Amino acid sequence: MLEFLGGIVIGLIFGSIFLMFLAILISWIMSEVNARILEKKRKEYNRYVERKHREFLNLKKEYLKYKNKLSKLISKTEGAENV
Amino acid sequence: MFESFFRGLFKLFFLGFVLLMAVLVIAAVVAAIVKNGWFFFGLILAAPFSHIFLRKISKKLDIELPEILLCSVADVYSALFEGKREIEEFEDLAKKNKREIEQKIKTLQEKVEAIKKEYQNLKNKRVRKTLLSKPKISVRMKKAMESILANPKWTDLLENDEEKWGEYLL
Repeated sequence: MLEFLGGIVIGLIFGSIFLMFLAILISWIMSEVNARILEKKRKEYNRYVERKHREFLNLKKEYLKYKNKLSKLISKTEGAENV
Repeated sequence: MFESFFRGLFKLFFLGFVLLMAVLVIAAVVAAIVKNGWFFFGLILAAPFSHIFLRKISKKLDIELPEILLCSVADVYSALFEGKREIEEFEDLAKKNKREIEQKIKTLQEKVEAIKKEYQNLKNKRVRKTLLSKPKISVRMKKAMESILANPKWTDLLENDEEKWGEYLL
């Protein structure tokens, strides 16, 4: 019983400090964990953007190829028509 | 190859050491709690009310204690969400950008398909023959030229894309 009362008294006086250390420890661990998660997500996202950019460039290349072909074809047709 | 192998081995040893230390610390704490069960029970029971007690005492004695010392369970709980907001903000922005990118790709795919179709159509000798046989350039040709070759919106999309794609990287 004396031990229990001693625990309560010490808990009332120093419990707040104990909780403070606990909060600091938890916040440090969580910020580390979340920073890693964020970094992982960022890398994943940037890889996605790069992949989509490559896809976009390929489509753009294809578009320009057909645009040139079409331009040539139209000018050829126009020329033939004018003649 | 050897370097990466040794690095992996070192990482494994280090993790094992940390794990062992953590197990030892937890065992020591558990042993102390078991040995002084009632004491720790009282301590854990009283700790959440410590900040109330300290506030009252400091008011009575007219002493101002620093806020950091008056830590409550709510502060410990809020510490669990440290860094979560940044992740949420990042996810929102990434989601918005992904939607924009998907739309951009879809529009471009549609345009490529359209121009391909147009080209294949005009390449067809019979179509060209029909077009050439007419005295003036056909409406279809005009439409094709206007909609595909000289669309300012489309030209902008192609020319300004490099800058835009750089902005998407986070």
